[in-house]
Amino acid sequence: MQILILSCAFLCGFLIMTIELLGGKILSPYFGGSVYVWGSIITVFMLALSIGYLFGGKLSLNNPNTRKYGVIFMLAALSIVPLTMGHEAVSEWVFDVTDDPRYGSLLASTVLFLIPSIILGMVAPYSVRLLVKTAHSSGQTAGFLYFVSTLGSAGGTLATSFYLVLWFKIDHILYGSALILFTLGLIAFFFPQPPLSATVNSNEKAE
Amino acid sequence: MFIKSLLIKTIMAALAASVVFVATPEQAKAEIIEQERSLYQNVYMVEEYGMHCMRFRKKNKNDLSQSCIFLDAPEIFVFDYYKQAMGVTFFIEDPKEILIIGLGGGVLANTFGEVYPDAHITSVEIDPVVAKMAKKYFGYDDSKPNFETHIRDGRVFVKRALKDDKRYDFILLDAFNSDYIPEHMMTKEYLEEVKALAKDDGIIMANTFSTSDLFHHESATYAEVFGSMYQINFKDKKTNRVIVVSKKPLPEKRELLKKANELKGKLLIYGVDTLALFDAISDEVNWDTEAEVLTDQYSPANLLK
Repeated sequence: MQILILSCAFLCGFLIMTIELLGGKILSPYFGGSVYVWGSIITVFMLALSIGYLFGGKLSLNNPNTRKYGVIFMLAALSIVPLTMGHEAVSEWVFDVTDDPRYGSLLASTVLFLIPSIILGMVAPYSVRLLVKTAHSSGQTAGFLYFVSTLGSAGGTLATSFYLVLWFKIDHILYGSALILFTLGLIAFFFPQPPLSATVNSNEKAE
Repeated sequence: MFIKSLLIKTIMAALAASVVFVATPEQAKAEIIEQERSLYQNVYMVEEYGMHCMRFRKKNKNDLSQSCIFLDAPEIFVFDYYKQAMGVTFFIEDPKEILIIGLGGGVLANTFGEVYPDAHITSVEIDPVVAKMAKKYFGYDDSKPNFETHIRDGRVFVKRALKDDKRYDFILLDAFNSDYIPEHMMTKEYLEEVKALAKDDGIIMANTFSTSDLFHHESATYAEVFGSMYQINFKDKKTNRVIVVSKKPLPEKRELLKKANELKGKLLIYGVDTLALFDAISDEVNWDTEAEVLTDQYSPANLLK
């Protein structure tokens, strides 16, 4: 159980940064590679993750289990498909709409990355819920989960910028990310396990 | 008399230039006369060996100067690369619209302005501080009616100019420095956009690398988009090379000799020997034709450097 959730959280952190870094490569032909293009991408990712944390936390209140957890991953995987297929058309469209590369890149980032990264943001709080055993250790569990997922993000940043772009095409990396997420989703879905803290759940209901 | 003083100037300049390339970093006495941090880099104006140079690093290494001019003889080219770039004059006839992507110090913009006084020269530079230094130290003057400067990403400018139906007789691609390559400006898609932006008989010239793995990938990319190409490169392969390509098939090399002779006098004041330049032109396929073409999907230019 723990291994499954932690692996999922690690890879989720990894792939968030993979997609974010590819965002720069996707947008630069249309809006350049300047700091404001990165500003747009990071803004959208941060905003999306914050929304995702809210949704993920909310979702974890109601009968949390790894089947639902798996569904989050599968949805994230599916949301990457239109991103990969449509990024050129979207960038082209935004380029026609505005000739300000700052707001152009912000608009394009929003259209392309907001939904996938909201879904990916739901993973962290949901993972915490599945891992927490007692209220006493919940801080430690959350801390460890953030450690693992942020370590994954560091790995994803490094691997993507140093190696993946050298080995693969952008779209192939994106499809590969979707495939990994979908596989994780299937594993979580077909090997369902109850949260480690079945008791906490009933206590909460009693209150 | 004029010729004689010119000759002396040329010799002096050549001497000064050879001193620069012989000197070790420790011996160099470079004085930073102005520096400014921009959004993209530190821009240093340095005075050394009777030259003004713009560079993006403080450390004194010969290959890091982006643009240099001699204070006493600003018309004489400091770098071989500038001379190589003048090879384009063999290919074009009275261009009306010239586009320069990557203004830098504006040395080439100024020179093309002199060689083709009737041309309208549009220069694109991403870094406003670089453009400022070009005006202050390199005599780049875009208040003249036939000059205009755009502070913009080169690729974004090209895409927009295509939409606005602009077309150019001659396009110079010069948007690289030795530290960092804008990867979105090395790709097949970018070159296709540039090709579309040229008039039917337009010429495109690029200042690029002649060393490292990137040489092969870049050459393969140009060949993919344009078919054949000429490279202009003096002797050793350590310096930059210049690529000349066009929409229409390029002329045979021997057809260029006539222009090389005609322009001999005109380009002498820049220290350019047009016959040596003619000799430096080559259509030899000296790259690995199997090298992967760079695309918007695959352009790790800085990792291949």
